[in-house]
Amino acid sequence: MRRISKYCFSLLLCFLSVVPTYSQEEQDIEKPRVRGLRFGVDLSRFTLYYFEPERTAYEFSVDFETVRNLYPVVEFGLQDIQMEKPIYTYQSEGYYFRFGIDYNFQKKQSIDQYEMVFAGFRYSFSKLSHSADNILIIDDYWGDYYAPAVPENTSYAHWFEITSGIRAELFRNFFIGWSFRVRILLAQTKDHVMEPYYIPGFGRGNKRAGIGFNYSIYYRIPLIKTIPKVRQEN
Amino acid sequence: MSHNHLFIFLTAFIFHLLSCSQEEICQDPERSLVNLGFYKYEDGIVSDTTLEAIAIKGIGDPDTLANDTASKIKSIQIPLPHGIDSCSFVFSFAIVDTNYIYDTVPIVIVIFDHTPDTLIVTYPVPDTILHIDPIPEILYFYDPVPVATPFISHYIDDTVNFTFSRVQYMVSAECGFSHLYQLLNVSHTHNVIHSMEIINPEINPFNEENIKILF
Repeated sequence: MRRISKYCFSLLLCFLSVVPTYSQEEQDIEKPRVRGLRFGVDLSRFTLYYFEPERTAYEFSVDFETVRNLYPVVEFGLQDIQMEKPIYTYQSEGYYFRFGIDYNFQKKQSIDQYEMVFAGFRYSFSKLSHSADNILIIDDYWGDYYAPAVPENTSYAHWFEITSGIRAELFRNFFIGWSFRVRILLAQTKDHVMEPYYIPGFGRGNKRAGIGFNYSIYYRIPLIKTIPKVRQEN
Repeated sequence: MSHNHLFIFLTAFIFHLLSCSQEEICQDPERSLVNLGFYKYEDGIVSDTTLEAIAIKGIGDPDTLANDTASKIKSIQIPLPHGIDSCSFVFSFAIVDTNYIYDTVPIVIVIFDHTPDTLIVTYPVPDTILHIDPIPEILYFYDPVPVATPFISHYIDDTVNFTFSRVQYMVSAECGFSHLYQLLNVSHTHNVIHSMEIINPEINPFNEENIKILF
């Protein structure tokens, strides 16, 4: 609950800060609108080394503005876990994909501005293989027992995400932003022996829902320059 | 990028980092226990019963599970081992002497502030010095009355053997691994136990009754 309240507070701060930007007037209609593949890297994954040293993860994204303010998105991530505990050792590696669309609500800005206050959705799936060994079952009555290793097993998960966040252009074609996510697990491989400790891209394997944050930097390759229709008619 | 955006970005980032630094610990180390219920069997009729005292000890190295504390015991839980597929326990049943011992004890009734909350205190030793704090408004002393105490004369043992299958599983990332069991067979001696009936062979952490022990 404490964690959720922190997230909500951060989200509230975000929206309070961006509301005034709606008042910007559309201007300079003569400029072209640049479109292109925008590649992102999630920076928050790099902090795992300090806070969850057993988990290594990377996440990348690609989006493209197909029509004004509509951005189909593909996200891809990798995860590796090497967890050593006194009572077992756990290994896991996997990947995930997310597909979806972001819609930018910040419409009242000039044609060459690309700041986003967006909401969107994702369909996501992941695959992981995991195993455990050095298993010690503590038994105060009959005595401790060293159990056999759990062999490598493959597990799949599908989930749906609703996301919202901001994206701002730091320099020309360079963006920075974050997004808040609510995830609902749709299906997961049933494994009665061992559930995944952490589903790549989703969260803890024993949860049916979760929340998450991404803090990303982006670079857009300026591929297409679109001339506004108003100018063409003139 | 506006200063507002930069500020919010950094603020949210710091909150996110703070929220990551939590270490989860095993709150409830889950264990599957065999739940045994005690029943009286008489003329083909099964009815609830309680035991005055029972001591149970696994055959091997383990400690005694339940000690001979005189109390009404209706059911008991016993753990199965993790490394083998069968085990035996010695059940020591307390045999209660039908000739009860009658002690006489004084009864003291203490009333504070004339409220309905009357505190009744019994003292088994007649010349116990009373320490009552705060000082009550009224203190009644009644004549000693006889109190029946059950007398355990001796114990009679029965040996119970459990045969089962095991499935290893991860309880949680914090608590590690344990076993679920399925009871295959139960056999026993007949010194006190009349019969044992497996009513639910699945031994799991959900505390459902697994075996009826009939006396």
